[in-house]
Amino acid sequence: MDAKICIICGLILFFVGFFALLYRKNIIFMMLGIEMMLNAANLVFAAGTQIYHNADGQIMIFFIMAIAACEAAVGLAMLIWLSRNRKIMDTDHLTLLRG
Amino acid sequence: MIMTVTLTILCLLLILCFVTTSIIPTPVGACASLIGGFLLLSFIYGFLGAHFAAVIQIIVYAGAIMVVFVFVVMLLNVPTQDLPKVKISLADILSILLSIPVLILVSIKILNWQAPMIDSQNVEMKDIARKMFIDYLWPFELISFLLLTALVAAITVAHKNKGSRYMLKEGSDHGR
Repeated sequence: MDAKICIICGLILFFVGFFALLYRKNIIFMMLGIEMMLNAANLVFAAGTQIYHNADGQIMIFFIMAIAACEAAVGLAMLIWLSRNRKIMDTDHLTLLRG
Repeated sequence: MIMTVTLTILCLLLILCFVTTSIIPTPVGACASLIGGFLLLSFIYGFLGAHFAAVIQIIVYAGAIMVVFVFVVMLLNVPTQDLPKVKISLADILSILLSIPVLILVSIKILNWQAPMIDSQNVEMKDIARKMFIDYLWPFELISFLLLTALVAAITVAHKNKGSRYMLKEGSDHGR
């Protein structure tokens, strides 16, 4: 029962993160939305660990956290580059793909 | 029973924290509310018996990744962001109204699902370590290479190079 509630909670959290990713224009908020979606996936993996009594779910949580760290590092570096060289932080103004 | 009620309250608070993050105008407020959500999430992991995940949720996620976010918000001096104005059409309202019964139906389906009865011991730290360094050794090593690559990429991208031809020219229109 506990694990099922967590699966439903993870479902709702994933869509809250997806909403933040689509709704906000600032890159920082969009990255926070991606973090929320990754955490929703983590919650479902933890629920699966409790249902199946298997360690695989917690190892997946570890891997997803490592990938989230990589994403945060590269994304924030790109954000710093953009705000320093172009003085923009909104995706509305990012109309050029090159450079 | 009391465990289930507590867990439901924690889940509702978690959803509240994440919704606040997605609609609050200030960047620091969004980061703080997300950190609060991560702490609640680590409580939930503890309730589910995933103690390893609960610990690294606090140490790695709330302690390292979110600190980087807050640091970048402070470094770039991000101003308060006005929420984007969206015209709500009839199709939007209809899709929202239709999505609620879908959510309810999926929830009922999940709650009625008979979980398989597995009589084995709860997952301990020992099992995780054994599995990670025997079955998942190659993914583990690949993740370490991925982290190294991300480190090099972040330093290369954020490095200040003055002669770049893509830098903002005087009087240009903010890169449009």
